[in-house]
Amino acid sequence: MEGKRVSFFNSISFKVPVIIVGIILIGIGLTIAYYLRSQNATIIGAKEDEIRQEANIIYRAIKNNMLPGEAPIAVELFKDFTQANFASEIKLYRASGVAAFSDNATLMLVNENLGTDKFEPKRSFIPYEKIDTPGFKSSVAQFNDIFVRDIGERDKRLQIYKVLFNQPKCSRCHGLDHVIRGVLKISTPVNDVYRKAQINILISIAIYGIVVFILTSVIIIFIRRVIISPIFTIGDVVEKVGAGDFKIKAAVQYTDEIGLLAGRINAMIDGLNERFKLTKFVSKSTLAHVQADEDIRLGGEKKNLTVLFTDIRSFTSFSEARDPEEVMAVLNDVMNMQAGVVHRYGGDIDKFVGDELMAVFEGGDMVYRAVKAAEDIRNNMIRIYGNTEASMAVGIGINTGEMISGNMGSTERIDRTVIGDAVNLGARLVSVAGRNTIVLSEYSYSRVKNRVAVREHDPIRVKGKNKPVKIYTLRRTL
Amino acid sequence: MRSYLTAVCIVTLFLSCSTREEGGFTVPPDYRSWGKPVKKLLDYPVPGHGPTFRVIYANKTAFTASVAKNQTGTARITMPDGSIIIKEIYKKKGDVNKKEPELTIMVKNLKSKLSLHGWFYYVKHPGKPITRIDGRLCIGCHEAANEPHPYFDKNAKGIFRDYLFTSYIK
Repeated sequence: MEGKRVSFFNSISFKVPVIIVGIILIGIGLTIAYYLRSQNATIIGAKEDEIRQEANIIYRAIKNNMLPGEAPIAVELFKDFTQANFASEIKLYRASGVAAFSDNATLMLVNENLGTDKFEPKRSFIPYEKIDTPGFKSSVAQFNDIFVRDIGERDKRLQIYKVLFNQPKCSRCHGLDHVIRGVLKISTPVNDVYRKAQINILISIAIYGIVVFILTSVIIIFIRRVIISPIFTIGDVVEKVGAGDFKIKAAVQYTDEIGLLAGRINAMIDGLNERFKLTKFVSKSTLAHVQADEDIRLGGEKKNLTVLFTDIRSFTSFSEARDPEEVMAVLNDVMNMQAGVVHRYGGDIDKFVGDELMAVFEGGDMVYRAVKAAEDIRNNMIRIYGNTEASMAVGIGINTGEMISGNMGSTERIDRTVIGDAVNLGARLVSVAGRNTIVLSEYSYSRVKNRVAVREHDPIRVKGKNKPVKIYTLRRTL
Repeated sequence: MRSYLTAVCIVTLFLSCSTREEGGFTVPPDYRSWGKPVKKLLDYPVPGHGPTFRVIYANKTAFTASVAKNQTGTARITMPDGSIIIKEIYKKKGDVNKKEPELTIMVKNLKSKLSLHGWFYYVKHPGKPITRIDGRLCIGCHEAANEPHPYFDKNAKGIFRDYLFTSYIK
């Protein structure tokens, strides 16, 4: 994942807006849909109630006009209602489905029931018509009012089939052999009502789209500015810190959780920078020891190692004639050169003491590597500072043997170093080394004698050793 | 476990709040011990029932109807909630109290919104289960009881009789 960008569909800038917008879409959508449905249902319901009420009024008017035998008044009433609303249709049918007042059949029956010729036959009739719509049939079969929503593509009508019962007061004229006198049909166009409902739907959808678009835009902009952008900034900073840049800082101005995170990242970078600087003050073996995540305790173990000591010759006279800054600069240059060579040959700088350097070599071919490092140091010194009696030079001692490697000091301040006789002898050898001379102990020489040219010296006495010690000075490696 | 119990509680609450079917009725087996608002056998034909013979029973509650009169003396009869009117319908006079009759029943229920002007109407044919009539079959005629009509006492003054053609109140 290091240094990589996540794919767009896996990114927060995609996921979070999708979730929020999804919720908005569903939430607002459902609300508007519910509101719209309710409103349209109210509009259409109000229209239906109006028609039912209209039907009730006409029903009562018919009842009252029919009772005294004034059927023609009812016919006129239908005409009046129809003329008042041209699109409406009001008709009365007998239970058989034949249009009422289309012949004298009912009138003749009434006269027969009354036993008189109370009503004279009519000469003009409304046109013959017979109805057999499902609404009509249902109203007759169920003895109940039937409401029909006849909603076609173009023509939308509400129809009510209202049953006219053969009530007791009607039965004297119309007889007792039937329950239903007729069915009143009122049909009213409701195109306007449905058009209003449709406009409502279109307007609501438009408002819904605009609101969702605006809210989505605001949310995306907000998330990008407040969350995504700072996260990218922090990510870039972390990536650069990973590459070794400890001076960079996450420049996030917010005081929210992201701002707190940036502050913690910056504090972490400071800590990393501090530790990075500290690594320059300790040996590689110390770093490796710490990185191994072992318990850091006092104590050590015996190891077969090679130690290399160097000491700058004529440094005292060199420093006396120069400013401290210049002395320190030259000393650092020399030490830097020596440390570079030691590291190149796999050695580890154990410590710097004044103008002295102590390095440790471990592992395969350690003696030869130490000798090669010493030879390079000597050659560099001669190349840089010359090889006269007055020029700055270096003395080098190399010893190999069993020594104790481990943590020395106190529980509060620990040095990881090597100690032992073999180490002491290495220090003694450097003290006897002349200018640009490399002194090898007998044991060290024995390990590389086929690969080096040396000059053999008489045994010398060194402090801490009862017997004289045989030494060799390196002429060159082969 | 907790979410399971919560779900059970919600379902139980929902079920306890759900509306039960209203207007169910069982014919009381002892209805013939009730009083008769009209003592005589009704033998004249009427629309809806035709030439039949009818006996009417009413429970005690139905005999506690309230009668209100306004300043002009016009009365208004209101049957109390819980009134039950059972009308036995026989096709032959000889069948009265001998054969199982057809029953038409009116039950006053002011609490239910499903009632028609405060009444539930039921029909029970011999040997068949009782059926509630929610359409206008019954009320379509009975609404005419509140105005003058040609039967029984004819309600000449057009008194509101709470949809009953016959009344024990004079």
